[in-house]
Amino acid sequence: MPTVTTTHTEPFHVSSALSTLDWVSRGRAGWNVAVSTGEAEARHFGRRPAPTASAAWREAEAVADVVARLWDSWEDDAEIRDAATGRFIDRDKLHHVDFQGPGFSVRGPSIVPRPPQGRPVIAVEATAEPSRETAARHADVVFVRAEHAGDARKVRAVRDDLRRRARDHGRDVAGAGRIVVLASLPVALYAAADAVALADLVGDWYADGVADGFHFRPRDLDRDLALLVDGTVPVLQHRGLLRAFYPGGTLREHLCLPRPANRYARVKETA
Amino acid sequence: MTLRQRRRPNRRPMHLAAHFPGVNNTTVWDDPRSGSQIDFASFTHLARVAERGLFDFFFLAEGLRLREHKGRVHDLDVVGRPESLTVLAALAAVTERLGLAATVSATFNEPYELARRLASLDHLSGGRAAWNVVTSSDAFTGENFRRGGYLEHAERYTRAAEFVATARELWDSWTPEGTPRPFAHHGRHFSVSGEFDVPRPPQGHPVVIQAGDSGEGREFAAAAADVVFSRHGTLEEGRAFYADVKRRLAAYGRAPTDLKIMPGVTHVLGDTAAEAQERAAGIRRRQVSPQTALLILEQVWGRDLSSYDPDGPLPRIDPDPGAEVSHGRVRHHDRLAVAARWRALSEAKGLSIRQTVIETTGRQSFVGTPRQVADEMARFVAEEATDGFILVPQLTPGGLDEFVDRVVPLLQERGVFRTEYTGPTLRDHLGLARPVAKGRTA
Repeated sequence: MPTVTTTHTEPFHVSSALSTLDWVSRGRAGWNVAVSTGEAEARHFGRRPAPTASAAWREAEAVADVVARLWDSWEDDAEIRDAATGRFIDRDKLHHVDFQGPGFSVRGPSIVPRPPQGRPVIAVEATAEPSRETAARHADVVFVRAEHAGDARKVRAVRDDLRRRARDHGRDVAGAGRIVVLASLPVALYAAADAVALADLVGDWYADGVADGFHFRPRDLDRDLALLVDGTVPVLQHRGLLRAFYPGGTLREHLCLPRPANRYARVKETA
Repeated sequence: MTLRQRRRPNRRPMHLAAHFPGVNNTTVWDDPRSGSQIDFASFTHLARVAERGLFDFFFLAEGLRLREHKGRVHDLDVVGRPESLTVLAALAAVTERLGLAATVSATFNEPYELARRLASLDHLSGGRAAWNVVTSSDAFTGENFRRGGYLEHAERYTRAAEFVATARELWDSWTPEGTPRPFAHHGRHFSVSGEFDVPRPPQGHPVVIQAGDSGEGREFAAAAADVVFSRHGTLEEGRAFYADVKRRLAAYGRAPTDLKIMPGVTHVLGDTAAEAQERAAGIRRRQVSPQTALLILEQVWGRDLSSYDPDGPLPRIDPDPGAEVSHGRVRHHDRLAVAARWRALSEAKGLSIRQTVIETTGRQSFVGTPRQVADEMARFVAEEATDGFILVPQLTPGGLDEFVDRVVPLLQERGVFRTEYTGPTLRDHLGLARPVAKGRTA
C-alpha cells in the first residue's frame, strides 16, 4: 500500500500505477491517499503554490473519485478475443469517465484493464478534520492515530463520526460500503512482556469496539519487529483474534472487504 | 571453413533487447498460443527468456490514451497495458542482470517525480534502469491530464531536452559521500528547487533512450541519448540513418560508440527458408484480418469505408486528405500519394483490399532459418546499419522462445554476441561509461 500524494501528481498516472500494482501483485494493492501542503514540496514541482489543507483535501476527494472511476472504466468481461468478428474487446464495455474536478479533467477510459480486486483498497488517515470527508466518502480503510493507551475514546469518536458521515452520503457501512478503521499505534518493545502487553491492549480495544484493527508504527524496526512478530502475533492468534493463515489471496480478502461492483456495468436485463 | 574463421578482429558486439508485444496489429492475438497481455506471468516469461538469451534489456512501451477510430475505442488489436515503471520494479525482483527500460512521456510528467521513480528503479534493480524519453503534443492524449492538451510541435523537444537535463541535475545533486545538496533549475519549461530525496542511482544516470525520427529527434538523440530506438529496419535505410546520427555526435563532444542504434525488428523462423516464408505469410494474414484491412484503408482514405468488401477491389472514390478518422496512432503522411501507390499495386497484381494491405504494410524484418537470420543480423551490424536490435515478438508471451533457443547460440558461435554478462549494470551491457556528476570534484 504505497502512499501517493494527489496534490502534485496526475490522477490518470496515479490510477494506472495503482492498477498495475494490483496486476503485478495479483490483487494485493492499496493506496494511502495523501496530500502535500508544504512549500518545499510545491517548489519541487514549481507548478503552483502549496494549497491549504482543506483545499488539498477537497482536491484529494475528487482525485480519489476519478481514480476509482478509471478503475471501473473497463468492465470485467470487456476482453472477448472474438476471432470471428476480429474484435479483441467489446468496446461497449469500456467507458469514458468524463470527469470534471477542481482544476483538472479526465476523459478516460483507463489504459489498464480493471484490476483483479476491481478497485485496489483505498486508505485515508483521518485523525484530523480536513481529510475526514474524503475518508467518509472514498476510503475502505481509515487510519486514526493514537499516541498512548488513553486515546481509546478519541479513536472511537473518530470512528463513530466517520460512520455517521458515510451513512449521510448514502454509504452502506454495514454491508458493501464497510469502513475498516485501524487504530494507528506507536510501538516500542523492549522485552517479551511488552509484546504481551501490546496484545492485551489490542485485545481490549478490539473488544470495546474502539477500532476494527490496528496499524503499528515501530519506533525501531530492528528492535521492535521481531518482538511484534514473534511475541505479540502468537498471543493474538492464541486468543483467536488474528488469522493463523491467509484464507484468501487478495488484500480485500484479508480485510473482509467485498470486491466492488462496477458502476458502469449495465444492469442485466431480467425480462 | 568454419564461421569462426571468418570472424574479423574489429567486429563490434551486437546488442539485443526484447520489446513486450504492443497494442498494434503486429501482435497476433487470435493464435491459440497467445497469452494475456496484462497478467504479470506474461511479463515474467518474456523477461526471463530475454535474460536467458543474455539480452541487454527488456523494453516496455507506454499508453496514455486508448486509440480511437471513427470516434470509438479501437477494438481490433490488443487493448490495455500496464504502467511501465511498476511492472519493471516487479520484474527487478525476478531477474538478475537484464536491463529494464520504461517508456515515459516527457510531456505529461514532471522532472522531480519521474527522476525519483527512475532513480528508485535503478536502486531496486542494482543499476539496470533505462528511460525511453518520448514526447507527445496531441490534445487527444492531453484530455486525460491536468497539464492538458497542447504543446507546439517545436516545443516538444525543447521541453524533453530540458526535462532530461533537469533529471540529470537531480541525479547529480547528491555528494559522492551520500548526502543531498540543494538543487535549483530555472528554465523555460521548469522552475524547480529544493533537495532530491533519492541517493544517486547506481548507474549515475539511468540509460536514456530516444525514439523520435525527425531532425529534432535525431539532434536530441545525438545530444542527450545513450540508445536510439530507430524504425529503420532495412539495410539501406539503416546505413543511412546510422551514418547520419553518428555524424551528429562530434558536435556534442561525443564518440560514435557513446550512442547505440537499435531498430525495432520482427523475425520469423522456419526449419527451411520455404517454411519460414510460409509461416511469415500466415502471420501476415493473421495480422491483417478482413476488419483490420478495412480499418487501415479508412485511415488512408479518411472516410468511412465499412460498406466495402475487404476481399473486393479498392474504392474508386478518392481519399479525403483533410479528414482524420483515427486518433492515438502514427499517421499516414501524404495520403493521396499512398492511395495512388496502393491502387497501382492492386491493379497491376489484381489484389483485393485485404491483399493490398497485407502487401504494403509492416513486413517482417528477418525471415528464414535460424542460420539465415543470424547471418543477416550479423551482417547488419558488420555493415554499420545498426549496433543491435530491439526484437518485437508477434506472440505474447512466447514470441522470443525460439529466437533465444535457436538464433542466439548461432550469434554467439559467430562471436558477435556475448556468451555471458560481464558486468551487473545495463551500462556495462551496452558498453557505456558511468556519467561523471557535473560540478563534483570527487
